[in-house]
Amino acid sequence: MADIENIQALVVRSPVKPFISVLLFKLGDADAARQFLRGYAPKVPRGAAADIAGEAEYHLLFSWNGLAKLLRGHPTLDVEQGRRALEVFFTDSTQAPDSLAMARQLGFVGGSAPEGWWEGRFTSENIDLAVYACFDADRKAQALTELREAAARCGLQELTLASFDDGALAGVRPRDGRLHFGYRDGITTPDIDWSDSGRPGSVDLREILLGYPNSDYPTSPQRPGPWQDFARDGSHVALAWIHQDVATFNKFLVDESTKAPPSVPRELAQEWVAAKMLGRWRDGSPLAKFPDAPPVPPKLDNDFGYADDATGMKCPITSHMRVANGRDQALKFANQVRFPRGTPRLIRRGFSYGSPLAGAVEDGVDRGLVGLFCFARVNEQFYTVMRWLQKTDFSDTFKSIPDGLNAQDGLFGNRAFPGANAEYHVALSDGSAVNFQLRDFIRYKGVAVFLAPSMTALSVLSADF
Amino acid sequence: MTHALNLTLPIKQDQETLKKLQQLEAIFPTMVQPKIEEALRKSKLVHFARVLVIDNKYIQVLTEYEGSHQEYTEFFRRELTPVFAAIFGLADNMPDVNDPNGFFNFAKDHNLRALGNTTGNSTDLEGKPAGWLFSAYNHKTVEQILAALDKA
Repeated sequence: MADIENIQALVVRSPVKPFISVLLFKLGDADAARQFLRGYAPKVPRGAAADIAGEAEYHLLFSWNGLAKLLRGHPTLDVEQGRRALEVFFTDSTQAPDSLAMARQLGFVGGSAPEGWWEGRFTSENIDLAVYACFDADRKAQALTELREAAARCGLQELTLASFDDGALAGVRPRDGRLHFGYRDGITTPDIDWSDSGRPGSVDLREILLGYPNSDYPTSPQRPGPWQDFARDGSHVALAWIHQDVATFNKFLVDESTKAPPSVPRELAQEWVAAKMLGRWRDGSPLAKFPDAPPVPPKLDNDFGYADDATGMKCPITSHMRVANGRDQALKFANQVRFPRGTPRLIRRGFSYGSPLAGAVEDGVDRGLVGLFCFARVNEQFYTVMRWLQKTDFSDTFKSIPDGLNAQDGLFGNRAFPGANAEYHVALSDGSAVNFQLRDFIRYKGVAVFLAPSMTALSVLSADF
Repeated sequence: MTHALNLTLPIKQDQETLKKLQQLEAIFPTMVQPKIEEALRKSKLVHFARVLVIDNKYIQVLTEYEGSHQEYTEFFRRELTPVFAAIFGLADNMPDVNDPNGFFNFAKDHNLRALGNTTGNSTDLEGKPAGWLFSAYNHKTVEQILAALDKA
């Protein structure tokens, strides 16, 4: 059973404050950095803590480099032992998202290649600490100033981004929940069994939390000891800065809407294309339950599967939702062995940035989303889902469509991925099919993997030794 | 893209280890080989595989397989845990085969690069260009080959 009060609230529940910034820092002197943490760790909400109006909310995320700087010389947490005990895909820079070994297989090629990340101003390896901060409107400017002043006093060097007014990744939680492509977000959230009761329909806490390894979820560190104690109730968090090309997406909807079958009313044709790409109508109703038209009012249903839709007549098998979370769709044998409890799950905590596109023509404004994904195993969860977005060879289901083992997620696939099949197969109810010609709709501008330590571990990191 | 795994472990030369090696060789055809064969056949990822012993000094696990090195390591570890325990146990610094981290690091540290240069995009576990691996069928996947054979 996890101690929910020991988990940073970001992992347990979605913050509700409308304004969000993620500030990236390189630590200087470790003693001074600990002083900064002593000031801000108490401001991190715990577990399912309710929002407090008017008070800014902070969450602290550390890269391996950050942890190593803070713990070097620690009497019980030997850094070299930690490097081996924690997951190699977190501690070894040769296995990081921007590494030679990983970048290509995760789809970070072409316009998403790491060479262009973080505006070319720094690399993911330079980031020691990310501060995820949420604000009410009237508190943001002052809270950001206070945070930066405290950081500067404690020798933290901020890694700034010129394309944001704030100098840091910053955006909003849209009031209606709709992101730049017009989809309502945040409907599918894993129901985590924090009490480890085996509650039917829930997701095992080991999908998200470190420190409770078993044979189904062999999370790192595996061995009992100080590093496993340190990691317990912590979660890995991947930060992904994702540009959305709204003009291209909108033009795609127009162009492909001509392929909608006669049964789709003409005024609904673009919405039909959009729904086929995601797996939900843009108002949130799932195609699996409402394949022909969105219900009025929308039904944000999450209780469905794909077992009765093997060929994707209702929900295309390469739609984003179905690739990222196949629900009851069978994995191929090797993946059934890897994931005995089912498809890997991630908790999403993202926000939207940039002004909405006005009109149909690209205006040169950077807009998109900043995704934060919580999970316990970097390679088996985050990296795996990223690979699946680029190449849908993880289930025999994809053999049912032409060149399906080289198909891609409709929205998040990178068409520059070697061997990518850029045809998007949409099966129709009469047994025929149409193909959309896929384009690049998103581009990665920076990705890094962190640990969101438990509250106990934050105390360890904050304390002098 | 087909990759080669050239896992090469120096065998400890103490009497106990050499006796374990003899035992492994004795049971391999009847107890080990069938298990490996069943797992690899079902995986549809591996083209060829074999295990070699060189002068009782080295044991090699050699395979040609597809997908990234990182993606399916966990499949092989989970499906063939006792087999890898027996093989890794012959070498120094044997990892806990129940630990994905230790297993991956051990495999990474003991994978030898073939001579020459890859003619495709194959890389080693650190993303550096791999050595040469000839493919008579232009790195077609197991799935593609099986499908073509089914049609033939």
